[in-house]
Amino acid sequence: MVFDILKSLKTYYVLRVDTAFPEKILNLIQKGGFVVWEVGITGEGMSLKCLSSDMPAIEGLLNSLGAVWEITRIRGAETLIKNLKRYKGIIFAAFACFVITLIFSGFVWSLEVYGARGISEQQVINCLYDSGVREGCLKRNLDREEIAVSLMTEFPSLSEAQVTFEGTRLCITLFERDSPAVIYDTSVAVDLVAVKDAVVDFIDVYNGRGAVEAGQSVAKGDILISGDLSYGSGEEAFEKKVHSMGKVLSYETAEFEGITVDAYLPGEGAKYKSIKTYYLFGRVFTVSDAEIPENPVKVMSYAQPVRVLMFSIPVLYDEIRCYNVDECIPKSEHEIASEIFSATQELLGDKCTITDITYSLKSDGGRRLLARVRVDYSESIAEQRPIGENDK
Amino acid sequence: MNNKKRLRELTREVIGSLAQTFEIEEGMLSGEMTVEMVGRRSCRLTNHRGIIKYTPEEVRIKTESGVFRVCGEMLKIKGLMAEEIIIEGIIENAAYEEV
Repeated sequence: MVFDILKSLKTYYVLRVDTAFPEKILNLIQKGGFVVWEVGITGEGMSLKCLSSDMPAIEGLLNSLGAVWEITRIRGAETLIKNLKRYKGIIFAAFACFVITLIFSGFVWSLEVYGARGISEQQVINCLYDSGVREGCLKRNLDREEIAVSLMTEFPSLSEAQVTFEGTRLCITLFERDSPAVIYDTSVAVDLVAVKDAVVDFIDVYNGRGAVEAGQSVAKGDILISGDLSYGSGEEAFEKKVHSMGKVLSYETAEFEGITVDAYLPGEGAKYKSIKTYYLFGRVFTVSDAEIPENPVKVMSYAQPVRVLMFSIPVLYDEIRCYNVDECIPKSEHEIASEIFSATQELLGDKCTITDITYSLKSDGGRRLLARVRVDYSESIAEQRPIGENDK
Repeated sequence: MNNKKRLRELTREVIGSLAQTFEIEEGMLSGEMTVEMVGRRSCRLTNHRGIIKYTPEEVRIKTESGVFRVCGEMLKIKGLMAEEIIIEGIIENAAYEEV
């Protein structure tokens, strides 16, 4: 096997020798210490293979015997290289792909945030952007410890931040001081406890025993729905602990100012001029089209990957599309309301459900509207805690 | 002459016991031919002394102990090295020729 591979790597010749006495030639070759293989008898002689390094000696031997011979084929590395030359385009493309992949693997393609609860992912990403960490950065230029420290400094509620690279992803795992709620399996007996000081406005028990009533004030950590259904004592004691389930809501009201909404929407087929900001090697390059319209309607898009042919590469850009207001149409009241609703929901977080929303709008002097929002919402104030753990 | 024969026998015995002790092929020490066959399709001979006849039906090989003859069909020398020869094909018979 090894010999076969070595033969293939070296150049070898396929010879045809016309002789009536193949044995003689073979014996002389063998006595000369040369290696031949694939010796076959053909019509008037034989064919054999030999290494190119042995060829001059074998040639001399055959000539001295007066044999008629010819090289019918040359195989091995030399031929292989010739064949490879034929496919040099494909080989070059494969090599280029390999090199490109190798180069691109040195960049951060995406930022991923895990464990964010009190802080939104967008806040973390914005903080990273501010400190120059974004998609398109060279991995070796990023100091993970430094990123972790900057996040922990920026967000006081964080007790720990871990920054790791997973391939081309920069993964940020956050641990907040108020550790995020753990969702236990239904086989684990748990109580539902208050996540903060609040007034219980609504309680619906699906499983377990209600420990509070609507209208009651609770402090953080108080049991809201108990999973402990035990009663009695002594011999008559009955013990049962269940996985409590239910809905405990507190109704709240909040006001937000400064929610901005674009007043106009680009019309169909509207032409635009764009301002693109590229982030590469930690530097910022801005490319702007000529003749940006005055006081335009702007449509922003963030962190778009640059595409080369049909492939996207890990260089990102933010784009501002500037439309001429004449080619834009005013947004409908419903569209504006929908945008304000989404922005408010984002500010409240996913534990809150909006029950009522009112807003007033005023122009910012340009093409945008500033909204002042008053929102009524219900917030789920319950989280699971295994029975007996930190009972109050 | 008698002494020479005895010496040869003695040498063979020593080689035989050495080969047994070190669990190696006797042929490797004595220089005698060894034959390895893989079914009917391949035959490997070591310590040969040359080819006497080679046709697709018959290969006669000179060895220390006489002429070894491989008969069959489509016989082909797969490899020929200083001390080794590999024959492939449909082997029908492989034996020493009678002296």
